[in-house]
Amino acid sequence: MATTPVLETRSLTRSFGSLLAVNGVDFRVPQGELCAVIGPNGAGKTTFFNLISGRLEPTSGGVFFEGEDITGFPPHAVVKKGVGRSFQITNIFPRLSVLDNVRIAVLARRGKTLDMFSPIEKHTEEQAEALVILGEVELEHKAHHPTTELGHGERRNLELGITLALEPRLILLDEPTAGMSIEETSSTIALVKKISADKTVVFTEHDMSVVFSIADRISVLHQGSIIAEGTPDEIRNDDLVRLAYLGEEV
Amino acid sequence: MEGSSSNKFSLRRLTGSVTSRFGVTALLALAVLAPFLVQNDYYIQLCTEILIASLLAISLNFLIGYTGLVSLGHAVYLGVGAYAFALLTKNVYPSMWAGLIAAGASCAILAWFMGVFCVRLAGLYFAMLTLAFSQVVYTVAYYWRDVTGGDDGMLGIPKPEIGIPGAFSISLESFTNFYYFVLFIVAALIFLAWKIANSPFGRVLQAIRENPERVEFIGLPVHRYKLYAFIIAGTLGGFAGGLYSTFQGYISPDLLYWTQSGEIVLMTILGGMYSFLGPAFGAGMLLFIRDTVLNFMEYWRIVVGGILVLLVLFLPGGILGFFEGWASRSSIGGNDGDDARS
Repeated sequence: MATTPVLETRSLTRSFGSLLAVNGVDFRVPQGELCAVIGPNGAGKTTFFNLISGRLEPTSGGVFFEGEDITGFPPHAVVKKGVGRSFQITNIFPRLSVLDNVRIAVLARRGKTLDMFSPIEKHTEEQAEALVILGEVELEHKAHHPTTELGHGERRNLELGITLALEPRLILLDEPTAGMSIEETSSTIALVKKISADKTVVFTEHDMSVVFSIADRISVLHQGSIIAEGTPDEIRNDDLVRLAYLGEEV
Repeated sequence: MEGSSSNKFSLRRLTGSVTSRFGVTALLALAVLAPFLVQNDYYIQLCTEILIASLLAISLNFLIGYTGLVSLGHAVYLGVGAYAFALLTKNVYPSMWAGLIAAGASCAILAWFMGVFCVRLAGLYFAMLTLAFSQVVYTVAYYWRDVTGGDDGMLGIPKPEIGIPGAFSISLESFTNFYYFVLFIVAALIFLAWKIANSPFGRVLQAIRENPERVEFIGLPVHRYKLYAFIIAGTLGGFAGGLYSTFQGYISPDLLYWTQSGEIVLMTILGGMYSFLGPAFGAGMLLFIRDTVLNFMEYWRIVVGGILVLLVLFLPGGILGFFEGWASRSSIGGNDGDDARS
């Protein structure tokens, strides 16, 4: 028997009224893979992520994480299982310090957030760990600043830091480079690649050069269905994909 | 890199703790000396009332300022705590401690029950449901004559003496003794609230205020945390209600009415909801204005309303919030999220 995939969806479907946003998607991600989900705007990428991470309930079909059925779990339960995600629209805690944004996530993972009587600064282990994670996303020097002093790219990195602090075994990244400058994009992509060395990562991205340079495998979503799957080379040469999506770009 | 950031951290923490420690020590000294400074029974009573209102406003701010839940029904705890104290000390056993525990416990249970429904909602819907619940309790208190005395309220609520039976006892009948007793209880409970506010749990509440969805996505069940905040706020409010009951010696359903809830919200906003002691400051200000203006005319709310309009327009962080923000900016040249809010 083949090893259990980290993530598997079976005929995953979600409709909004008469619109089938995600339509019967069968999707498997093996351990350790860096997998891209691409598709034009409105193809259903974000809905697909929302179904996996518990933000939306599927109309039908199932989601399996490491073989366990997690269909319909609320987001916090999906996170506890080991699935972390970041968002397309930056999703941080604006009026907490940069450090606290990550520290809260570390404390949450370690089950210390019901501690009501010891000062948060006394949790030095968690603080040290949060600073290490801030180092990874190149924000350590801004740890004690409010997030309002961060640039757009730095906020995206902070969001990634919050997700990393959960030590997920599967990370879902929804357009990690959305709105970033060219330099920011390349440093974030390097970071995503580094993360994928010991974690399974599924990401969406609109920048095709990024997708084709780092992904192990690409799935193409079109009108809610997967129309092609394969290595970057296979996808590049797929006629259906060219027709539906890539056009003359590749 | 690491050296400079940890230096900065300790420096910031040092200045932060020195200013706040100095402020708190000064405030406590002022509170302890107040009876000697005012030398007047009337003002000692006013100070006692301000202390009780401070606890009430700080308890509400657990919801508004920390968790981002605007409750419009907080008077329910003032009222239920007050009735619980009165019913127990008058009908069962005249003990100060038992009365206060009854006040806190009854409100904890009530908050738990109401919270189960309220925390599923946010924003205006949350506010409306808290308002509706408190009006239901008001109506019960108003019509359940046999127990609550209806709109006549309850008279002759005692100030039982405290101490160890057979060893010693302290009478709380004198205004000064009672003031110190209230100061002790209020300071202890505010200290407890401060501990909670600065704990990991307290920071999660702030995170919920900032972005509840993201909290869910760091693996925490937001509803449950909101419920705990709701119960903490209600319990502290209940203690304030118990103290108010014995302080006044007389209570009526008016304590539960929604305008009373509005007044507690006003205290919180006047003083500053993003500052821990802001609501206490607001409580003091509101009661002081009421008292001063009432010497000249009946319509003290006009003055409070006018001040509130100016505040919301020009100092949206409240009065204490403004001064704290100003102090942290001038002390370190940058406004840390921590300093402004803890």
